[in-house]
This record gives sequence, structure tokens and C-alpha cells, in this order.
Amino acid sequence: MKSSYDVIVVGAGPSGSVAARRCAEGGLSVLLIEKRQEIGAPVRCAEAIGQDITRPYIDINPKWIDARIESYAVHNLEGEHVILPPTEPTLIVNRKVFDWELANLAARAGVDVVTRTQAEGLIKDDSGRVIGVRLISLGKRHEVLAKIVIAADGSESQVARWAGLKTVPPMSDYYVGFQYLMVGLGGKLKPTICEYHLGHSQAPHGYIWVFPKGEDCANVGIVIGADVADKATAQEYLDRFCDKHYPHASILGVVAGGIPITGALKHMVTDGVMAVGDAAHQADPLTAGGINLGMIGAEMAAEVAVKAIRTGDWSTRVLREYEHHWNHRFKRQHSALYQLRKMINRMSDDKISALVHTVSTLPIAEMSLGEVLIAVFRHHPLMLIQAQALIATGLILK
Amino acid sequence: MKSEQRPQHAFFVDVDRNLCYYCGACVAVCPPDSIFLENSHLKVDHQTCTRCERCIAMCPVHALSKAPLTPEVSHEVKL
Repeated sequence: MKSSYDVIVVGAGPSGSVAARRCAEGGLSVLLIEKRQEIGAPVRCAEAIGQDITRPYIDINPKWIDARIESYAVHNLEGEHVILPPTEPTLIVNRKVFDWELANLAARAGVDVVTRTQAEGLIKDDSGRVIGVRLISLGKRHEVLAKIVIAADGSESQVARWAGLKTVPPMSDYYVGFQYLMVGLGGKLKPTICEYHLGHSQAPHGYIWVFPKGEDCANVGIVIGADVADKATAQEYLDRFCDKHYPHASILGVVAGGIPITGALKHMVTDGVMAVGDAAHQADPLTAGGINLGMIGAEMAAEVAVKAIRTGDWSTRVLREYEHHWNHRFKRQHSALYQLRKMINRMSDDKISALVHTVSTLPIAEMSLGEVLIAVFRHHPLMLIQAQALIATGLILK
Repeated sequence: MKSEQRPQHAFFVDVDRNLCYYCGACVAVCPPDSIFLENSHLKVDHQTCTRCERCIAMCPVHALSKAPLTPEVSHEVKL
């Protein structure tokens, strides 16, 4: 580790590793730190990614693929379901290997990577501008200077907070998540189908998923709205589901966590600091899927960082270009998904069940929704449930 | 102020280490940034905690809870 870098990236998840690698490829000196002892563990993720959208960041490799998904099934409480093909091949990955490989790529691009290294605080100059990171690396304290610090330290990002970014939205913009890695799912699992289960009585303001990781093994998880999490815990809701559907399964792993679903922070940069991935709330505001979006955000941030350092000006004004790129690409789409989540939250379980039932009886290909709309629904399977209601209220098609 | 003079509703946020997964969900929603995820445990700064209870609602396993003030922590808690 040197005493000074162009860029320090805090957090070696997919977003951090991609940001670090893209900065190094742009000719910058980069330090990537990870507080955990090992990259990729423990996993806090349902592990679904889009194959095509991932390809620019890593060669698709069977060594980190646990399952290849051919369709999504959206279930109601009665067990009826709608089958949807994904718009692009979906993969269920082994995040331990996937994250490790992304960090490895960063290292090979010239990034200094070090684990068991935690940021303790930011170093600021007299004007309050961030000029480095105070950290504990392998037990020893260091002060390392940097022109830009990239916060990739997850939804509980300390770096973004220390930099003064507003990262604490209302509780209604958080999912509480819990997941089991289960084996022994017997004949109940379809190894090429991702299941979503809707219904506020089983997952209030959220949903349950079953993402296969092989013939007999799956991530079985839940998110519930943090604002309605007072009656029972996410774990208790998931236990009820698992007792009903998989009473004889074994648990090989447990994951807990919170996911911000604001659809990105209003401000993701300040003088000398840029936030990416969960630290910038870049997860999908409906499904909370965040790996692909985080990697795209990281790449956008890195491009702007490289340009800023080359031109010698990395003030907030210059770094804002990253926010503009993000908003240009995602703001409209994410606003719609955010509103859609709010609409589903307001729907009764009977209404949700009825919609799934109606759609399940239709030949999807012949539905009069238009190709564009279908493509959007395929990309965000939960939206299909809302299709009829959205059209009825004239929000999408008039 | 002595602890016996404190209002009846006074409480502090307690962490059940047996339940906690150190997932950081509570850290993210804490407005005054009073919860710290350290290497092997979760720490609540009772002095800056405003007892808004967001962390308690956020915990996926209810490892955080309202606990009655004890003499050990009462001097730390801001009322």
C-alpha cells in the first residue's frame, strides 16, 4: 500500500471492484480496500444477474454460474402463477466466486487490493474537501491520501455519510431482507425457473423469491417493507412460507440485510467523493436487484473520475456529470418502478390474486399490450401483475 | 439527573448478540449515525441515539429491542 493514490475505492463488492478496475484502466493509481477478511463472503444477495448486461464487466464463466434461468413464475397466494420468459438470459451466480473474480480482474488491471482493511474516517483539508481515508489495514492504522474516494461500502455506507451525502431516506424506502440457502427441495423446485410469490399477508409490501442454484438447492428469501415490519420479523414471515412449502429442507446458509429502494440518491457526489452501488441506493426500486445496476453505476462513476483527474478538476461541479449520466439512463424508468411498488403496496391480497389469476388464464403472446410494454414487463416480471390496473388507470397506455 | 428520576418510558436500544447477523441494516437507517458495525459486534452509541426506533423496525430478526434503563447504561443515555 502506498501513501497516496489517485483513487481509493472503499468496498470490494461488484460495484467497488468494477469502479476500481475502470479507474486503473483509465490510467489512474487505485487502492481497493475491503473490510472483510475475504472477498465475497458473507453473501448478502439473492444472486440473480442478467447475462448480457453483465458481459461488459466479466467473461461469462461456468465456474460462478449455479443456474441458468429460462423463465420467471409469478405466484399468488392461491398458488396460481404466470410464466414469463426473461428478456435476456438470467443467471444465478455464486457470489463468493463472482466477487472474487471481479476483484481479481481489478488486481490484474493494476489496482492495489487489500482485505481486512476498514475505513475509519475521511481526511479533509481546511476547506472541508475530502483528500484521503484514515484506515486500519491488517491491524495497523494508516492515513492514505487520494484525489477521489469512491464509496462502494454498501447500504450502510459510512463513507457516503462522512462525506455529507444524505443517505437516510424514509422507512418506506427500505426493504428488510432475509434469505435461506436451502437444500432438499425435492420435486418442488424447477431448476430453470425463478419464482416470485406475492401477497401482503405472506410478505407485506414485499415478496418472496425462490431462485434455484441447482437441481435440489435454492436461495429462498423475502423482502418486506421496513415501514410495515412491526408485526413480525422478515425471518418469521419466511419461516411460515418455508414450513408450508419446504418442511423437510435443510438450511446451508442464512443471509440478512436491508436494501434501500429509493431509486438512487438525489446526490451521489460531493467534493472528492463519489458513491456507487448500494451506497448510492442504485438497486432497482421495485425488485431491489442491484448487482447489474451497481456495476453500471460504478463504470459511470469511474469514467467521470478518470476524466476529472486528467483535467485536474475533481470538484463537485465536475463530478456531477456522473449523476447526470445516471439520471439520463435510469431516472424515468426507476421513477415508474418506484410508483409501481407504491401501487402494489396499496393493493389488497384479493386484488393481487385476482390479477395473477386473470393473467394466468391469458395467452401472454396475444395480450394487447404492445411490444414495448411487454418488453418492460419481461424485464421486471412483477410489473405484469400490475399491467391491467395500470392500463385501467391510464398511467401507461392511453 | 439520577436514574430514579427518569421518566417511566425511558429505555435504551439493546442488541441481542445471539440474534444479530451483523448485516448492517440498522446502521443504514440510523439518522444520527449512532450504530457501528465493528469486526465482531454491533455497537450503539447511547449518548447520540435519539431512540427513534427505526433500527428496531429495520432488524430482519428483531435483534434490537427497547430495554429498560439499567444503572450501567443510564448515565450514557441522553434524555
